[in-house]
Amino acid sequence: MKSLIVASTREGAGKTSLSIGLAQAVGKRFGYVKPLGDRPLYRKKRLWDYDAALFSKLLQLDQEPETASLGFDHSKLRYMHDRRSVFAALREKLEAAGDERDVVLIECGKDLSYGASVFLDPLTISHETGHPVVIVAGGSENTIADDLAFVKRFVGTDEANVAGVIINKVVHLDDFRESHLPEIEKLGIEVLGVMPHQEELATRSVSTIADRLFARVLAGENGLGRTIRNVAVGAMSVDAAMSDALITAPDKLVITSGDRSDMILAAIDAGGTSAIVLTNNIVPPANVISRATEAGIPLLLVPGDTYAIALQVEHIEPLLTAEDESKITLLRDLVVEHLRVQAIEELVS
Amino acid sequence: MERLFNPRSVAVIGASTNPAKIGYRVVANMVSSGYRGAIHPVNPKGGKILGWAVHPSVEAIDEEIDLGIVSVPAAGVLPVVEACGKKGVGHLVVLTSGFSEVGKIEEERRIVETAQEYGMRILGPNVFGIYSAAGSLDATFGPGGIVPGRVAIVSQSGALGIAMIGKTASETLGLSALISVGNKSDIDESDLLEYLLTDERTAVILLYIEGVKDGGRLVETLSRVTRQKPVVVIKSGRSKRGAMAAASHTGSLAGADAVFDDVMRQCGVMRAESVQEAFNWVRYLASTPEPTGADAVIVTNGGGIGVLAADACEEFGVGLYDDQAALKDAFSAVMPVFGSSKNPVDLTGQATAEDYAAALDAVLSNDRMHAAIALYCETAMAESAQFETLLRKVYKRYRGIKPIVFSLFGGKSIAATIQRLRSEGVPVFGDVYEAVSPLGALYRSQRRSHRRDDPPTDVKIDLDAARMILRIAGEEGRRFLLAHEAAQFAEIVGLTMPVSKVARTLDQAVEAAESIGYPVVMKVVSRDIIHKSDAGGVVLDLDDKTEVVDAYQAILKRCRAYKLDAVIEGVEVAEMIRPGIETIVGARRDPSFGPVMMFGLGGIYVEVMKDVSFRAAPIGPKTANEMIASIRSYPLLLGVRGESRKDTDAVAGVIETLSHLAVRCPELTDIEINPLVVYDQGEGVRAVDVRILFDAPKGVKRR
Repeated sequence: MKSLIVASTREGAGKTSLSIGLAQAVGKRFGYVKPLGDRPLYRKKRLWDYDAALFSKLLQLDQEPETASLGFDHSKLRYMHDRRSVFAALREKLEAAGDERDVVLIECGKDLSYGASVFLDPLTISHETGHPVVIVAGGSENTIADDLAFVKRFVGTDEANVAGVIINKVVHLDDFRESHLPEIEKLGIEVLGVMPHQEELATRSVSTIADRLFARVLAGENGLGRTIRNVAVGAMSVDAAMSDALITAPDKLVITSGDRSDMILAAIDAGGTSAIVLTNNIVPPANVISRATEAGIPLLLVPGDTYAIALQVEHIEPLLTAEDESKITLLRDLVVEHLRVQAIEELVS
Repeated sequence: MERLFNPRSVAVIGASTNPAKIGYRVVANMVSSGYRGAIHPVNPKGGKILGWAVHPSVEAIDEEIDLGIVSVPAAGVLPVVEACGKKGVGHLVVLTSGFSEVGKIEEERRIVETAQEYGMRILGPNVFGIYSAAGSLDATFGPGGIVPGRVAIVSQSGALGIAMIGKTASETLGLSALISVGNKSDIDESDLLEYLLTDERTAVILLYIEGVKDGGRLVETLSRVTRQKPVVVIKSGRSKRGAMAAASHTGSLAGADAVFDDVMRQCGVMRAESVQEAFNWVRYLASTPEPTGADAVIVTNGGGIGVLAADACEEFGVGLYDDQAALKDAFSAVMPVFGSSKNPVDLTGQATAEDYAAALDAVLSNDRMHAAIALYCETAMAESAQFETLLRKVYKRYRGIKPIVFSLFGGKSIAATIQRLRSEGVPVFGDVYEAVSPLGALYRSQRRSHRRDDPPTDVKIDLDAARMILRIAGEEGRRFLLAHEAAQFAEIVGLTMPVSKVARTLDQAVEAAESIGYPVVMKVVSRDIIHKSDAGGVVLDLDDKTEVVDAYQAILKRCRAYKLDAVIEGVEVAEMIRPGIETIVGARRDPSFGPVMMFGLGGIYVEVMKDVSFRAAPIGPKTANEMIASIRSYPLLLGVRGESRKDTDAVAGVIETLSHLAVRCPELTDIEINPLVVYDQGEGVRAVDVRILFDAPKGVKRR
């Protein structure tokens, strides 16, 4: 039973989305393991990884998502395992995940060192199991070049089986191919493809925001699936807001204090508002809630102040859902167009 | 205060011979109100005003002055205060505006300080003056024509107070006193209430308030006053916009209106919704005898309006006499066969004035009927002129014996009748609710005066131990207690918290859970996360080791995501207590009233329905129980749908103890027990979570 380890140089490189694309494009039946979970979902007193749940749905896996990970916090791994037992446990997971599957996709953490102290970083897993690692590199062109040069210089072939790299989220594709790719290839790195940045994949859904902020939904539950492309903080007067392009922008999230009835109504009337986050745990008057309900715009009540919430929203990454069919199809098509799918297939054959 | 209300001599500094000026108006009002003492106008220009010689300065007055009225520009006030102080003036009323209400706080402070050096009291600045029936003194710049009577009005608003002068005249409302408090730089409502409590002329007191200073003293004073005399309050700033307007008007914060409402109720003060309602109440309270019982009878010639009156009685807390046999006995002689002797007693539209008079006589002469509500719809059977005469006669008979109110409904002639009768002081109204409302106020006032006070309580609290915990936390630079500290604090004040242990690692967490016994709850311990539930830092009902392990990881992950730089010290593992009714009990330092207690049902009942009640601390067991019974969800504590009654006595005990703690430990700014789980009667309460915030104890330096 074959496995493919997918790792990333840094957080936000797009490892999970790329893995989804690979699983769709490569003609194999994939199983899934995420040794050290990092996107916890806690439901009904059980903890599982968001990505594991997503893959479980997309790949129609029999396994329960909560069995896809060995743990979420380093403390648990230390509590339960040493080096020997962690790999014994990992092998068990791989075997279970590989049942009636061709390949097990092992998705590692946010960067190359994540999990190293508990032996679950991608290079240690590769060293221990012999499975190939594909590294996803993202960021600015210089960051990508630095990261890959670093890996090449310090990761010997004894350490891990680095089969190649995929360069992801490149803004100026042609420019990159001309200016930077040759330098990277000169390092002797196997480049399995260069993927362009796609605006469509960087959007977030209202339900993701609501979940991550632990928001209470006061109105517009049916709108939780809406997309957010822009974020506006409604701290100014309504007059000033109406002449701000952001308030009239489409697919926006407006963040304002719950007692700013004027701003809330302005956001509802301005059009293009996907949702409104109400800060300071202040519930607006009933007539304002009714207006939002009528307009189908979710009102998300959160306890923090506007600044803290805006900061949190800034850091919430776009997460795919199993219902994002168009995005999933787009990922598959991008992989087919820009990656050496055959080379990847050979890795796992 | 005697010499403020009944001065032997008054100096008007800034007096003027120009009738258009305030300095003239004040002197004119004093003269026209029949003030019997000496008036000393002061103006460097000299001359005479209305027969009184004008002195060039305060120093030039060759007599002791009890009261000074200051009407000079703001820049000239301080020298006047100095001069009056030296002169030995007892009280100074500063009409001049342009002080703290426009941000000139320092200038105002200097005026008060200077006055205090001479033992002189200041009313104002920014006032319209003072009227006192005791002194026959109208030292205001209002329209004059104040009729002496039994109602005292204390107003924080100048313009509204002056307008009230006109209204009292049109409503034939006699005043014992009318005092404008303005900026309340020295003399405030509490000072005036102390005087009015003992003033024999004053039967009822009306307060118009925008902002409260020294709320603790106001609560104590009002609580004493309302046992002897009814107090009605109008307070503005109820709405958000109103509060903003009040802030810019007086420079004072309106404070939470719900707190004000409840605290006034606690003091026995009746809050009117409007100026008109307040006037209706005080007029009625000042001229109506106390009822000898709780049962009123409605006499009407229209069934519909009778039903409305019954609705109004329920709304305003007026009981209705319901002995059917006695009612039949009393009224069968005066009503047609198709009428109804049930209460409301419906004489029908065929009733004549004589029938009406006989029915009201029946109420008056019956000892078991304690008040009458007389309703009349205009018909052809009784002409309004005839009726007007009848009502005058009836009122003359009832007055001094039994409370009665009238409500007349009809056209122009009825409107004219109402106007004439009201100008004679007859309690007649065009609307049923408006008529019953003052009767309701009378009953409320009576209940207040008969209410037994809370007995003095001896609540023992180990304050030293409590302060030690605060001191240690303060030395670490914190202004809130961590969970285990809050639990220790709670035990000091007699609250039982669930058994808990703090775990710093996962294996400690598992060990703690196993030793406490399942099920357990787990909560994050972090000085950077106060609202644990909001951060995903609380997990309930963990039944085994696997769930404990997952919960530990989930809490750490979620709390780190909630606040990236939070220092997480570990988790608290605690016994999961059995379910009961969740309540919230809190003590908070209110900007107006100082320590204020809060009680309500917990969870969404607090956050969404805001079903809470407030009382100023300290409170005794009676007040605590009243507080519990005042929330809308109270029936849940009484037990519904087969549930048993809950242990509200235990809840009252917690409220009482916390209220004393809040007063004795003023460095505490916020204590919240949420939830306080209440079990069946006799089974007590358990505090599940306690949040405590405090100011740094004095002398504590950060380590």
